[in-house]
Amino acid sequence: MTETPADPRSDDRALVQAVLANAPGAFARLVREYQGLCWHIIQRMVRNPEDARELCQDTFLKVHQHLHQYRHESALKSWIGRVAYTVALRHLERKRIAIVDNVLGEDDDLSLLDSIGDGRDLEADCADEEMHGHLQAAIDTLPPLPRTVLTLYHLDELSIPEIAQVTGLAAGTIKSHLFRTRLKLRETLETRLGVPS
Amino acid sequence: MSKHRDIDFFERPAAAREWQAQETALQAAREGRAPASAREAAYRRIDAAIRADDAVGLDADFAERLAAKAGPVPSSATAPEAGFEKQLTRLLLAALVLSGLGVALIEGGSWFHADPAAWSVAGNPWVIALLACLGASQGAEWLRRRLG
Repeated sequence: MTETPADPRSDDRALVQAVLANAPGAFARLVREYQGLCWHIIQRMVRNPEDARELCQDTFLKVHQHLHQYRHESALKSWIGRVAYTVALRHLERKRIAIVDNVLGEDDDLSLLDSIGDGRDLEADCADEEMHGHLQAAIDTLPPLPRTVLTLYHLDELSIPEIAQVTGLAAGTIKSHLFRTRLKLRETLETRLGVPS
Repeated sequence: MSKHRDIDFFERPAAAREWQAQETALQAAREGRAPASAREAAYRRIDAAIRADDAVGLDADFAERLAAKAGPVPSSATAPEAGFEKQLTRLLLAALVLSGLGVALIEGGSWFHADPAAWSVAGNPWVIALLACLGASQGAEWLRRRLG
């Protein structure tokens, strides 16, 4: 007898109904389930642990206040992610921090592609730890939005449409951010290894 | 201010190939396959660096403390903004109906005399189109509620 896989949408529905019915422990369960996603979004956007903790609390208090308005039109994680993203965005706007760099022109993309070599074996070069440290530093210096998009895609494994729902940006914009940011990080690796352009 | 421009991967085959290489590296990392090229190895390092920073800096009892602080969840009946929304919707509907009646009373006589055939529902394509749209909209809403 084959087991039917759990339907995430029906799990969402059951959890939301339990929370709205004020079932004991239901809201705590919702927070536990999504606090990781919330932290990743907010911490990547604001890059300050104290602020991130406060903003995570604000996010879940907003979720608590407005859960009755959730219409199940998107996955619950996308809806909560959207609340977290908006809370972080407002925080950065109050501090007048831009979330993206000035644009790389299309010519800049092409020149990056041309300048990055393909023949160097990065696995063999340089100590793993040192390279890992360089990459972490490079990721830390990324603007908030590309850094958050990378995290949602690689770490939280959200799809591009899901990330589009969280951020309110078009799927093509999300894809462009992923492409450019990963290409720039690859250039960082090559630069660290002293590969001539 | 963001001046980001989206990349058209259909018009940029070099970018499309690089995107494919990025995705292949990600997929290979998830499946535990060895990298097939230096380029793929680079993207796998990038993926590993992003995934390494996965710590969640919230206290172990964050959820419980927050639940205790938040209290009962407001329902749609008790939420403060729901009452205001309902009142406003009723007010706007009443205004629409009253203004429609007012216009009909003032201008209705001249409409009827101008073209009695316009009152024929069967012969008026715009009325048929309106009824079809209303029917489709109501039908879709009914289906949505049935299918949950």
